Amino acid sequence: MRTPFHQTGRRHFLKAAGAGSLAGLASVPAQGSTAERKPGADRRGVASPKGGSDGTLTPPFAVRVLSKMGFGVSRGITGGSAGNPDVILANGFESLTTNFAQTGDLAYFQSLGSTDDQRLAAYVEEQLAPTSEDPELDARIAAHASEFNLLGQSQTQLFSTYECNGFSEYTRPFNQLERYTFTAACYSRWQLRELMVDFWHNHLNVFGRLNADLYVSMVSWDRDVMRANVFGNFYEMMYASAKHAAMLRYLDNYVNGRGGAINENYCRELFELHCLGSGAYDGNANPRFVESLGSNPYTALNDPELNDINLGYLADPNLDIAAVYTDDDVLTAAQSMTGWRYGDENTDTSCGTGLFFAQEDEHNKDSTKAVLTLGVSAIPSGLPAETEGRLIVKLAAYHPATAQHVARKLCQRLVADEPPQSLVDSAAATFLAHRKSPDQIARTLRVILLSDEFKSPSYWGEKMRRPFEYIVSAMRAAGCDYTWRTNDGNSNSFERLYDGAGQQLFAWRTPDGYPDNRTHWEGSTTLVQSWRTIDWLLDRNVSNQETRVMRAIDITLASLSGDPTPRQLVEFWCNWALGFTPASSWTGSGGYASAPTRIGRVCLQFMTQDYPGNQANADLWGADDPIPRDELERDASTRDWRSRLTGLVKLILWSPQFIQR
Amino acid sequence: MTTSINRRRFLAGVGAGTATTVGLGLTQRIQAGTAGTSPTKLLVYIFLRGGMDGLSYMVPTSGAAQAAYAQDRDDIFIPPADTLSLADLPGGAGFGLNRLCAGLHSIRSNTAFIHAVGHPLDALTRSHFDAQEEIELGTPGSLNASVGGFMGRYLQGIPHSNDAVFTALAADSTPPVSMAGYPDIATLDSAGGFSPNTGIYEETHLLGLAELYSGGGSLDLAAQSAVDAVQLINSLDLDGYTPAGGVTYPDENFAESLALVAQLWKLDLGIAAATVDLGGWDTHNNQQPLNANTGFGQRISRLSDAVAAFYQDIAADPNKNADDVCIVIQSEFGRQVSENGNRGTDHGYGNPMTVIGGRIAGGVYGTPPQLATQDRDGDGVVPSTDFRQVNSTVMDVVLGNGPGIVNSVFPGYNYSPLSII
Repeated sequence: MRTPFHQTGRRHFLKAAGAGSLAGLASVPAQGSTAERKPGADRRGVASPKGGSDGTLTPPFAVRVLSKMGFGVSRGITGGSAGNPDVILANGFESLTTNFAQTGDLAYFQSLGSTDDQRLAAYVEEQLAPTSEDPELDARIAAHASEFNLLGQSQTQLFSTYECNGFSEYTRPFNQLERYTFTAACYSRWQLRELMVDFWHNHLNVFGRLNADLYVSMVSWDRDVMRANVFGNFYEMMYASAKHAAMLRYLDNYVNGRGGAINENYCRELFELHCLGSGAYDGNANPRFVESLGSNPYTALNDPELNDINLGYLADPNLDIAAVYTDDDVLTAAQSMTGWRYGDENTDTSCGTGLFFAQEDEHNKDSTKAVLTLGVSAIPSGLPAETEGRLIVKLAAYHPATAQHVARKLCQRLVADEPPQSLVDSAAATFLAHRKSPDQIARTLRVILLSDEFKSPSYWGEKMRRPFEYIVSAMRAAGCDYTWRTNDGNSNSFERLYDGAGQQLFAWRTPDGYPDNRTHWEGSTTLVQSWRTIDWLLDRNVSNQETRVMRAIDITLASLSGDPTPRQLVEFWCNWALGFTPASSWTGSGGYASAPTRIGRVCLQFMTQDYPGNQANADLWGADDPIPRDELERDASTRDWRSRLTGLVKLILWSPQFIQR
Repeated sequence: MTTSINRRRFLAGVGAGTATTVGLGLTQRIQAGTAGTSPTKLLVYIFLRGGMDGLSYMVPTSGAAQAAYAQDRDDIFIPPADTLSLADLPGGAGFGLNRLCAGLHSIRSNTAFIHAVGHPLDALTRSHFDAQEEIELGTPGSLNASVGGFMGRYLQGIPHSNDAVFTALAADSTPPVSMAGYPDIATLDSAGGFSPNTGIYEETHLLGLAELYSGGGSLDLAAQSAVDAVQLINSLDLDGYTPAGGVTYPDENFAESLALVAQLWKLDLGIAAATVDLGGWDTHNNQQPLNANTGFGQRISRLSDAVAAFYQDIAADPNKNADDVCIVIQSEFGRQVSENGNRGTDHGYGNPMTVIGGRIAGGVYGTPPQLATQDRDGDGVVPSTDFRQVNSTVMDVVLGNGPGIVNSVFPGYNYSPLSII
């Protein structure tokens, strides 16, 4: 007798691990058994830190690494015929003899050494030093060169051409960047770089859709601030960001001026979000009486400017530096950064240069200033605007609290929402010790990526993929074969759905960036709209082999010979998309009701039972009965095998196994 | 004593024998008008993110406060002639609402305007994110997120009926911090096309999703809520909603969110709390307090029109009682008294809070802002009322949960209720 789907409605399968935290449960059923929900186990107050996994189903090392160091596993299905990258797998796909499971980045990772540690070390080194070699991404961009032609232009070229010329013009560079970001995340072999570019965009968040100035500046912002420094030196990135039109405009430093025209918006976030962090904020405390660091953290830097007596000798070992910042420090720093401007149509001919310049008559150089120096006015009067502002960025970027703050956020991105403090401390120590190194960020990342915590299976599933990660990972997992670009209806349709999930690119309005913890993303809208986007990907153009967005049908036919059974399809696709098969297999050997994993049970039921609206044929197909191969390409019979096949892949990509990492 | 929420049992329906009726149970009951049997009191919490300039909302119009205000504002100064007088309310002499607030002004007899609310003086902050987080956690001075949100604790502390379908609604794509720790939230920001797919497997896939996420972790619970939300939303006639009393909601997303809250609450699904955000108040630059089309003026106009429509819709509904609704409007802090160099204002401290409901005795409450230069702190208004006192009064007195709820929501906070009913 079959078990209807709706049994879920009244019975709950409680995994052993998660059930322990359910207050009021008298007994904890073993995984896979059923239990009536106890009245006390209601949904309020349940504080299980994470959820939705099959419990013990931890993927192998390589899958965990690739899922955390980038946008998940890709099986390397592309690279077939050159020419049109959008139809790489089209004509003759079925005749390809490659064993796909042996190519792709899982196989590549396995080839990098003989132990997990060796392979990880080699992969980390390679990813931290990207070369210009990126064949698949390059081929896709080259095939649509005119739709990415603005990405190589300078800030001044773009600004002076587009900024003052109406919405459809000034959004052109932005739109190219947005589509490029999807394409690169999906197809670049430098997965860690793409993941970290996204990280830095959020760390130094600007709202790219604020106005024309932001729209046109985002290409340079992405390239010259984020990508140029993605594994480089943090201060260099900070200084580039401070001088960039995107940041000057977004946080109002471009109107910060002398007299009554002080605007503290930028300096507040420089301290709070970009550098020291709110953990080092002491509000309206008197800056003369806050805690001192003890020894001057700038002394060891040997920075010529911080050592310069004419610039106040801020590295003086006898100068006390505050451990925390106050409102007074923010306001004084804003005074120091007065006069920072960028060229726009008000200051230049045509649309403007979009480049930084210092407007000395708007710079408050009359007073000495105390910033982070416990009331000692160490910054002399009379300094030029650019020099004085640079000192502020150095004081912030080189401060020890900044090392803690940035290290914590990196660990949060790569390991867990609540990363272990010991790991944060290790990363912060490296970050601090290498403040002047050109590869400071790479060194810090190396500490995190080679740590025991990063390698440990006990941190698997701690993170929920944010929509950008989630959707791109799904694209990679199920054989996406499409170039996201501007003048393209499919790309537009995709983006409308994707944006509904709550992580539209470059569109978080406030300067803190998209949240990096699962509680923010565990909402109905994010889940439903993400699932809907995946639904679109799987079913878009599915009847036309040449223009399919996702290659799920082609991958199936190329990988399974003969007439596959429902069980074979489930086992194949769980393995393909999730990267492994547990020792018990996903479905076992019986009917769906006895499948040893929840996902195997759901998927096998989906493939063998009719949908509820059509009860007459409840038992649709045997789990081990062959499905006519040619029916997988079209909904030829009432069994709708093609829709059922893509529907199977959707279920797997929708599952908690896939949405967590 | 609270009872358990058992949405799954509700959805399954009593004695449901086939899979079909599970998925459609809720839909059919809503269409039959028998969906809910859980009339609830409703707390609507509106958060104005970005730090609203309270002095451009509740404007001093006479006396020393007005003189101090006028002295330090220039481009963004609002003259008394551009205000709607509150003088007919107790405590209202000397203050007027921004003239773009005709909607709120029309419901002032059910509105409490409370002066100079903010963080306690030992926990002042000018960080948006700290200030918002501490308000939403309900823990001024502490950012320990493990305690969850104050709305979450409120929801856990109030009684629930067994057949509640949803108990909390967040009109956003993601749940706010204020509801953190409370898993039974439906987040809805765009009700149109709200489904994982729309093909022949729509129903089957919903059931598959429910099974995939049938564990007890937080993601399981979120996904279960999502599946239920899909069924609920798809059963509603969103475009066909007719507000009571001939009310028309403005055609913009904040008002639409409030209309959705009203529509769902009227279905008696068990919704006890809803959060709606309105952002864009961080007016460092070009504040434009009297321009209904941009800047502060546009925001305050939307706020006023939408909230007035919502309240009038509830108040006019013959099946509902406005006494069962309370709307709270709060921002993380106010702004400095002095205009900055860019026709805007920088971060300050104290700010008015607004509370609306059938039980509210219209009036202007609290200690008026002390605006003399020497009375400001860093040019901000020094708060004279702790925001927890306002929220406690709402939960305890206005919504009638009694003082015990305050112990649950703000543990360790000693308070006396404001006299606003």
